[in-house]
Amino acid sequence: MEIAPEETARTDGQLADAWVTIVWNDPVNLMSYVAYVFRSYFGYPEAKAEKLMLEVHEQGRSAVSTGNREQMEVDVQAMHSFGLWATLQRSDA
Amino acid sequence: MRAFRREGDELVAEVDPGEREVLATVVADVAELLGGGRFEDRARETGSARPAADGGAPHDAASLAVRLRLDPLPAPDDPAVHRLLPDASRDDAEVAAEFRRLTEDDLRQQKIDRLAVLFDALTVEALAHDGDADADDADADDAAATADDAADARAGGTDRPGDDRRRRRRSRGRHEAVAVVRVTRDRAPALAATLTDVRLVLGERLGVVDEEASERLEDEVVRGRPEDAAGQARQYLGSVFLALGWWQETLMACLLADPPDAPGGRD
Repeated sequence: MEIAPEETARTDGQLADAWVTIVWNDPVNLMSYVAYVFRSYFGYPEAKAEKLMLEVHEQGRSAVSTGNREQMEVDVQAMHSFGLWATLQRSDA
Repeated sequence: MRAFRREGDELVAEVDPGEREVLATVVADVAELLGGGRFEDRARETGSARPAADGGAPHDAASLAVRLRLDPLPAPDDPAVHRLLPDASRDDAEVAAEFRRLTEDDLRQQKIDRLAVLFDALTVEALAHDGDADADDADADDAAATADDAADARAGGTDRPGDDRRRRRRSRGRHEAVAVVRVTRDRAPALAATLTDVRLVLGERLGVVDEEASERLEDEVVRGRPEDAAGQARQYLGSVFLALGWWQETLMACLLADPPDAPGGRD
C-alpha cells in the first residue's frame, strides 16, 4: 500500500515530539479505583489496566499513555480530575 | 454508613444521621479549601449547594476571567490543595506552569461542582428520602445492621469500627431516620472521584504519606485511646478517612461488577 507523503510526515512529527503520561503511586488511592480509571478513561482492557495499576503500586510509577504534548496534557488533566497524580514528560526523558 | 448496592440504574447507600452530618461538613470543608465558599450558606439561600443552572452575572464574569488567564498561576500553598491540583511535571517548571495556567481553573471548578453534588446528595436530597426511611421501622434498622455485618465481613472484618455504630444505631430509636444517598450509574464515577478528593485531603492532613503511615493510622483508629483533644481529633478524622475508603471500595465493587464501556479502546 502506498503511503501518502503527508501521512509519513505526520508519523515523523509524532516520533520527534513523543510524550508520555506518568501516573505516580500514592498511599490514598484505592487499587480498584486506579484500575477502574485506566479502564474507563483510556478504554484499556481489564488485564492491561490491572498491569498498569500494579506497576504504579509496586514500582511507584507507570507510563500509562503516549502521544504528542497536547494529547498528554489532556490525559494528565483527566488523571488530576480523577485524583490521580500524573505528570507528562518527553518519552526519551 | 452502609455499602453501596445496585437498585436498577441507581447505586444506593444508607448513611446514619450523625455520619451524614459529618460527611457533609467534611465535603463542604474541602470545597472551601478549593475556593468554593461555604456550601451550607448557598444551600440555605437557594436550597442547593450547586450554582443556578443559568449561571448569573458573577459566574459569567468568572468564566470570562478563566478564558482570559494569561499570567502564570502559582502552585497552591496548602499541601492538601496542591495534592488535588498537583504539578504536571516534577522537573520541568515551564511544563508545570503552562499546564497549571491552562487547566487549574477548570479542574478547581470541576472538583467544587462534584463536591456540591455530593453535598446535596448528603443533605437536601438525602433528607427528601427521609419519608421512605421513616416508613420503615426497627426491623429495617436490624436488617441494615445485618447488611453492615455482611459488608464488614467482605471488607475484611476486624478492621472496621462497626460495632459501636451498630450499637448507636440500635439505641437511637426510630424517630431518627437513616438518610439515603442515591446516584445514577453514569454519575457514580464522578462520585468516586469526589470521594477520592475528600480522602486525599484527609490523608494529607493525617500525614498518610506512604503505606506504612496508612497502616499506622488504621491501627491508631482501631486501637488508640487518645486522651488529649488533638489525639481525639486525629482519631476522629482518621475514622472518617477509613470509613470513606471502605465506602468508596463498595462503590467500586458495584462499578466493577458492571464494567465500564470502553470509549476509545486504546491499546
